Amino acid sequence: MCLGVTLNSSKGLPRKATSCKSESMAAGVARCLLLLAIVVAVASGSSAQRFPRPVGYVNDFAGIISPQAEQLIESIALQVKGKTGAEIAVATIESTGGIDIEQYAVDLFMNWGIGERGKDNGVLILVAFKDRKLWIKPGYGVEGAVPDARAFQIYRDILRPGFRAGRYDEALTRAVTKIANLILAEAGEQLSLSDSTVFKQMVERRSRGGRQRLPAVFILLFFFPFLFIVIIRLLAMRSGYVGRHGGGFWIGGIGGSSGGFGGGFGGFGGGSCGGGGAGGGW
Amino acid sequence: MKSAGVIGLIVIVIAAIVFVGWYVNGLNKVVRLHETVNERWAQVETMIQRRNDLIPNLVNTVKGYAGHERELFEEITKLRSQWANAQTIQQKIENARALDAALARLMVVVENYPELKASENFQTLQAQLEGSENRIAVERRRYNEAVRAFNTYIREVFGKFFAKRRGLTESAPYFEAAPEAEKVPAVEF
Repeated sequence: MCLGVTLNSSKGLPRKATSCKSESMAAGVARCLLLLAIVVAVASGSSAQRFPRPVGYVNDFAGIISPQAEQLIESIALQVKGKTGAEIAVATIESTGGIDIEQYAVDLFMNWGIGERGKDNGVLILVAFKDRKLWIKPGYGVEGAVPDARAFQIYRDILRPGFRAGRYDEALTRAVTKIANLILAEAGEQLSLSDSTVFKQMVERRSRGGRQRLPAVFILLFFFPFLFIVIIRLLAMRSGYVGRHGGGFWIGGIGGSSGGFGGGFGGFGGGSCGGGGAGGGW
Repeated sequence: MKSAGVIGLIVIVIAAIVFVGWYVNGLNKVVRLHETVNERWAQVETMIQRRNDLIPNLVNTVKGYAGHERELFEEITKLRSQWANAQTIQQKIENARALDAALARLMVVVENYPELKASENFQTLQAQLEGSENRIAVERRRYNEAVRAFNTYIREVFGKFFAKRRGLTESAPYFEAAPEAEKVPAVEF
C-alpha cells in the first residue's frame, strides 16, 4: 500500500504530499507498535509470576511427599471430586520468590482455577518448603465449610506440628482428610471407608515391595474422570461449545498434559478464591 | 468496468461491516470495563463491611483491658459510623484507609497488654480481623486492576472517543492501602 501511494504520487501529485503521506503512515505504524508494546507490558505485568502446570491433585514440585502418600491424597481428592465436585489441591514449591505466601496462594489458585467454575469449590494447600511457610486457601464456595477459624485449626494442630517434626506425608494426608471431611459433611456425604481401605491395602502392598499391579477399582476410579472429560469434550466440540467458550475450562487441561492420556491430568474446573484461609510458618 | 464496480461495492460493504463492528465493540468495551469496576468495588465493599462488623466486638474486648485509650476507641467508632454515610467511592476509600490506620494503632496498643493478647476471645477476634484484612487486600488488588483497565482505555485515542459517547469520561479512583496498615503486627499464637 505504501508502495502504491508513492507510485501514484510520483505521477502527478506534488512531492510534498508523498513525504507527508508516508510520514503519517510511519507515525501510524509507530503508534501501533507503541500500543502493542504497552499491551504486552500490561499483560506481562499483570501475570509477572510464571506458574508450573498442575500435574494432578498433588503437585509435589518440592519433592517432599512419598509416592504412597501422594496416591492416598489423590484418592481422597478424587472421592471428594466424585461426590461433591469440589477439588482439593496440594502444591509444594521450593520458594515463593519473596512474595507473601498468602498472595502467592491466591495467584496460584486463580491461575490453576481450582474448583468448579461458578461454584468456586476448591481448596489449595500450598507449601513453600525452603521458606518454611504454608497456607490453606479455600475458594469462595467453601469458605462456609472451611472457614478461617477451621483452616487455622488445621494449620495449628496438624500442619505446623507435623512439618516441624518433618512428618510431611502424615501432616498433609491428615490435613487433606480433615478438609475432605469438612466439605463432604456439608454435602451430607462422608469419606467412604471401603474405598479408602482399598487404597490403604494398595499402599501397604506397594510399600512392602509386593505386586505392582493396581487393583481394578483404582484403575477404574482413576481413569473414569478422564474418560468422562474426553467424551464430554468430544461432544462439546461437535456442538461447537468449546469453540465459543474456549479458554478457561481447558487451560492446563488435556491440551497441556504432557504425559498424554496415561499420566494426563484433566486440569481444574476454573474456580476462584478471595483472601480467605489461614496459614503461616513452621 | 462492471466487475470493477461490483468489487468496489463489495469492498465498501465489507469496510462498512468492519467499521460498524469496531464501533459497536468500542462502545460496548467502555460499558464492560466500567461495569467490571463497579462489580469489583461491590466486592471490596462487602469485605470492608465484613471487617467493620467485627469492630464493636473488638473495641469492647480491648476496652476491658485498656480503658484509658478512650480517644482511639472513639475515633474508631466514629469512623465506623461514618462508613455508612460515605456516598462516593472516593469517600469510602478515604474512610476505609483512615479506619485501617486506626485499627493498626489499636493493634500496637494491644501489644502492651500481654493478658489481653493471650485471651481466647481476643485471639479469635484477631484471627477474624486478619482474615477480613486478607480478603480486603485481595479484592482491593482486583478492583485496582479493573480500575487500571478502565482508566487506561478511556484515555486512549479511540477509547476516549467511545467513553465520551457513553458519558463515562470520569476515571475511577484507585484504592491504595494506608501505609500504616501494611505493618499490622503479626502475633505468634
